[in-house]
Amino acid sequence: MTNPFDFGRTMLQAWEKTTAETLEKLTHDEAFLKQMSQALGSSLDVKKQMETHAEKYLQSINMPTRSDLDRILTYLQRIEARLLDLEDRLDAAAAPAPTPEAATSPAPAPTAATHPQPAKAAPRPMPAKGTPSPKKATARSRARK
Amino acid sequence: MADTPTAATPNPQEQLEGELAKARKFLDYLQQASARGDHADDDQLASLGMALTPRHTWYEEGSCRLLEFPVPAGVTPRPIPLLMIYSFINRWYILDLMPGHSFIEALGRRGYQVYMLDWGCPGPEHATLGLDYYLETVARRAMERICRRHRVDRLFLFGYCLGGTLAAMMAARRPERYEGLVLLTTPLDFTEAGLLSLWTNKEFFKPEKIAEAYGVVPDKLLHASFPWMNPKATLAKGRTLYDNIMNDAFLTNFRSLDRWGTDNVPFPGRVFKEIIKNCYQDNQLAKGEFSLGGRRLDLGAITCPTLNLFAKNDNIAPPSACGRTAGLLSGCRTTDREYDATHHSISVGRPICEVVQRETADWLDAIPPRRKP
Repeated sequence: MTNPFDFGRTMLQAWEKTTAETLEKLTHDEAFLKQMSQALGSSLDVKKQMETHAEKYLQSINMPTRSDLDRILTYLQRIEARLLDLEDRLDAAAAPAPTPEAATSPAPAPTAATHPQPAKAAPRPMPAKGTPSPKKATARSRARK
Repeated sequence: MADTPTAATPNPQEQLEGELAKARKFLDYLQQASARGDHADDDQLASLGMALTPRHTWYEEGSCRLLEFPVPAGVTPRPIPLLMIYSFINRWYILDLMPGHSFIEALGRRGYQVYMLDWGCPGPEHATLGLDYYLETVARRAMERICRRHRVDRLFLFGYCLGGTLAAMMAARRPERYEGLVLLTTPLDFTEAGLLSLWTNKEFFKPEKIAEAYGVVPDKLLHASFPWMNPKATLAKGRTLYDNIMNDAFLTNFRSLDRWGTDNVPFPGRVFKEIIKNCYQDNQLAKGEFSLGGRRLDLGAITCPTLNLFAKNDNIAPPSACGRTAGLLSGCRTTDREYDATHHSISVGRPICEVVQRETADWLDAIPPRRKP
């Protein structure tokens, strides 16, 4: 008598084979892919319409919308990029220019300790009012030079 | 006369117990996998023995961060560091999957200081940011900061999958900043990019509509489509796991690849549109019509030596696409290496990944340092 586990496995393999063949044909069939894309497109239209209505409703009751939040986040993104640009300029002004010799000699092994720049590290304590932060002071003194 | 059980054929009672033990372990695995959730954090990866090469985050910008993998103690660091550019699909740690299955670990052991640009998990605020931002602002800054830190004017660039396409764009935009370029399973000419070309056919697939409706293309949408590139393997996945569930070595490898495969991230909408429309549908990069930072990119402008690694059985970046790279990079010496592997096994499947890693490090070692013109 056939072992029930072997029988089950054989059945499963047969199912896998036939289903895989069908799916293989479908995923290569342009007509099917076209229909899938159309269905996806229709669902995207519905999604867009619902979001437009939700946005209009929130605006009508003076509530911030997702677009408002996105706009603020985009501004923050730009500010962050500008801060990093400034940091780069200060670094570039302080760093010695690369020399052809530097490329052939081993560079000093950089470690986190020698380059402490974790942008989102532990929050710094807030300085007292009127006390310039050390970073600001450095930037100003460099600007004076 | 009754059959006498032998050592080779267990009796029905033993077989039943064996199957029950397998079923129990299989269900345990499924429960654990489901409890792990959609995204892996650093603690979870460490608990699974994944992404263990020592690293720290140098700095962050938006959702992106630059990871630094120091050269192991006792290994002499090489003067020129290497920047890895990862794809926008899934997460970077496929290149540091597990000890012994890690490109980053292998290159570190050979003295290469590796940096990885992790695009992170984009949110709605990143929907309108395109490749101009990701490559011209984030990646350019990473490249310049690394050069400044190491006091060199060039570095090695390494790109994996779509990240390789991005790396080639960077190298074409600023060829003077790169000492060597490694492309791992990277398509640059998309005319014969396999099933993905068919799925993104411009006659019916509208990436701009998806980008506009979602902002950032949801990870679930991408995750739902990729497994059907190979339905046979997808359907057999559960049975393969069940059949090998008592094999601990198999289970460890399966678990790590499964974790990575289900750890999907959203795709920034504008980048999605640019990649699908400009690359897959219009093949602009190969035609020299792709613009980055307001300038047209010419792949022929890349001057550094290039290593093009691809897999024979790759259905995501098939050899029909990857094999055309040398013809496009007319300004540099390109070395093609084709391996009997798949898209994933070329980077993490033993023993082939060890060969690929060793040959990549050998190739990097052999590049003579270039002088400033």
